[in-house]
Amino acid sequence: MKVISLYIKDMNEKFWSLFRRKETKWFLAIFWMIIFSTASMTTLNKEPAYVTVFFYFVFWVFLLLTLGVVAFSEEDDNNNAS
Amino acid sequence: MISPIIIIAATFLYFAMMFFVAHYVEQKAAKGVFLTHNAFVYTLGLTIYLTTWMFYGNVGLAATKGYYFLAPYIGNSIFCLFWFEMFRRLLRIKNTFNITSVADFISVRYDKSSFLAALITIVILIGIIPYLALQIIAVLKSYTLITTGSTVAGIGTFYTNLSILALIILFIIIFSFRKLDQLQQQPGMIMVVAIQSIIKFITFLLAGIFVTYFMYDGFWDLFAKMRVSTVLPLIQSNPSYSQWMSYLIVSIFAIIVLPRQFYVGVVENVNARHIRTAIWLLPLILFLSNFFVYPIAVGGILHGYDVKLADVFTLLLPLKEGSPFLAFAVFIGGLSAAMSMIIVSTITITSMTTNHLIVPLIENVRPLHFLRRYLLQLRWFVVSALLIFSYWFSFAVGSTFILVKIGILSFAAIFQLTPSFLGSLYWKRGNKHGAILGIGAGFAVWIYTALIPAFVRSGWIPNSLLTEGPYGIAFLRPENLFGISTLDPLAVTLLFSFLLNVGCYILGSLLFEQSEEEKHIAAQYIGGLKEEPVLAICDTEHTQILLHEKTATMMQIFSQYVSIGDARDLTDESLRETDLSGKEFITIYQLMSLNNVIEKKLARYISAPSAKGVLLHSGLVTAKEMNDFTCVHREIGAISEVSSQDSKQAMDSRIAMEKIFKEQSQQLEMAVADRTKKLEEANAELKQINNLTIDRELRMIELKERIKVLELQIKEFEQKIGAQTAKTLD
Repeated sequence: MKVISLYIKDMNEKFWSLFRRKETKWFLAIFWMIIFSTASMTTLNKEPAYVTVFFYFVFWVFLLLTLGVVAFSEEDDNNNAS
Repeated sequence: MISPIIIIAATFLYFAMMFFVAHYVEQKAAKGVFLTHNAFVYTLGLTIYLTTWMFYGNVGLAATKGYYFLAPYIGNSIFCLFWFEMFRRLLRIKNTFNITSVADFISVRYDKSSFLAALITIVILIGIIPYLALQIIAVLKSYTLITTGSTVAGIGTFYTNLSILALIILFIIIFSFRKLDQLQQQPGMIMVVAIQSIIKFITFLLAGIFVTYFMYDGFWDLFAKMRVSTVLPLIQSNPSYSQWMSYLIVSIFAIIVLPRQFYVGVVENVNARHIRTAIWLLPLILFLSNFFVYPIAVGGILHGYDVKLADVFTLLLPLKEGSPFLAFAVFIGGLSAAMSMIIVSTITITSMTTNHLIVPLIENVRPLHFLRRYLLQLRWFVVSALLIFSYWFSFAVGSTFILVKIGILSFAAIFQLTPSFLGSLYWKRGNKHGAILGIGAGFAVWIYTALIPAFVRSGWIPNSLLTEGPYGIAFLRPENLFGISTLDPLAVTLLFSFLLNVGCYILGSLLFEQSEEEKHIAAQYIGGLKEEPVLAICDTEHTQILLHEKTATMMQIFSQYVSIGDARDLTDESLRETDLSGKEFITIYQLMSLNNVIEKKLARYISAPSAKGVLLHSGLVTAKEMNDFTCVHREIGAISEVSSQDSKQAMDSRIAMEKIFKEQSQQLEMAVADRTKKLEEANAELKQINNLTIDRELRMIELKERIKVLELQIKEFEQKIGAQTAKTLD
């Protein structure tokens, strides 16, 4: 049990630290830029506008989830907290 | 329709409530209770990004261009990913350099250049006036609509408009420009902005719910009617990818670089931890604020309203479809959206205009020196002039544009600051020449490709400029520069201004050298800059500077801008902070520390670049003293071969060591004196003991002799008695 607990703790730490990395943030930013930009270039653009708007909102919900994870992964630095 | 008297009374009541809230929060703050020091108020402050553009203009854009209205909100939501790191850096710099505006932030990084600060202020001033006009147009349109049912402003509303404008000016002056010190936080104002954010958010959601669930039977009903509509596909046609991308890109940095955003996000931030909440809460608010935009736009068109009125659908639909109370609430929501933007933008632009345009003018023109004591009154004048000019502009140019077009015009102007802004944070070689060239070139392109076409549409310039180009050169048509006709005019502006801006910034930075101070500041902005060590021999260790002469100069500097009493207080504070109170002489290090403290204090009144300029010509640090200091600075860098940042630390530690040595020397002297005294006392005691011992010895000798004498006498006496006894017995 102790081994499993330590493993979960380790994985948990790795998960949050992954979202603190600059590389991950750049990947996510480029990923979402591509998603939203290609949506306006591809067949989605040919759909009635309300369909396009609907899909944009769906994507936006997932973007919000990503931002939530990134926000909670950030660690406060007491030296920088004014 | 609602009676104008009710609307005017409600507007006055609204202002009175805002006055009360701001006053209450400021009073609490004076007692040490800061109601605005929490992450939610901070994030609500950041939603100042949502102006009447969102409240009214978005619906207009959605009605004509479909999903385009989402771009200005999605772009900056994506880049919230980087906010935590970026804002912490911005806050650290703000605290170190007493930054009060975005112009301050950029110009301080580039050698505290007054010229650059003035250029940025001009860019912002010209760029933001259309945006301020947009807010005024929106308020006036909504007022006319709710009171008359028409969207054409008549003469009858002129005095009402002026009254509203006068109220806004009064509000800003009372709550933002009562004091000259710009570093003071303004909790009252921030709370007002936060409350206005809640009002605009809730009223817009209510309008959306009314259209979706009361005018129609929910989203599916609306979608079903859209599907069979013959009007919508005709209106929402001709999608442009370049326009979508332009909106997306221009908004990414607008949410940080726009003066009002920088003010609320950086200058008014009191805790870096609040950024964590803003990263997810702000995009969530942006998402919810856009949720009902499309239903309102489509609902209005399906109900047969002219698409040209789409800018006011948010207000028009509740008003015309039997919900005047909701229409009234929406009017207040729109007023809140406009007011928060107008208040904060005016505060920031007024500070920048006085600090970077008026103060340098006063300093350089001797007959204007008397105005140094009237800086606060000058700010009041600038607030009034700015809003009155925007009011005029809203009639002169604004009537020919839809709201979003005006907003995006401003965004494109402010976008010209982005390369220098980012360069200041991430590129150590970027210098003031590059920044001046970049911003100047980008702004020139913006004027030619965006502002001049706006003037053409207003009828100030012949239309042939857009259709045939200047002097008939089609190649130079402003909206189709270099013959590009496939891109949206905004995309043309962004493309060429960005290319020229970045190109000139990089080229200028590579061609010209940074000054020593600029390198030092760049190191503080970016961190970890290595300098080339320069060997030098300095003999400044024993330079002694008379403090009372410097104190007199300090008094003279401060009293130019504040009263004599305040100048005295500031001088005393500066001396206390540098630990120089009561000293007769100071060293070169101490003088430079004093200079830095004074510069920071002065920056609170006239901004950092102006403060630097004033101190440079004040004589506080003479040319020789400056040379001595530079020499010592280089010497330390050369000896230790460390970075500029490290050399500053080394210098600081040297000053600290000097202080410690002096203290230790004093302690040692005191200890020696103490020991000497004790030794003397011990010696005296010893002498006393010695004397006592000798006395005792002598006494003993004396006593022994006396005993001997007495013994002899006793013997003689015994002999006598023995002889007498023998005689008697005989």
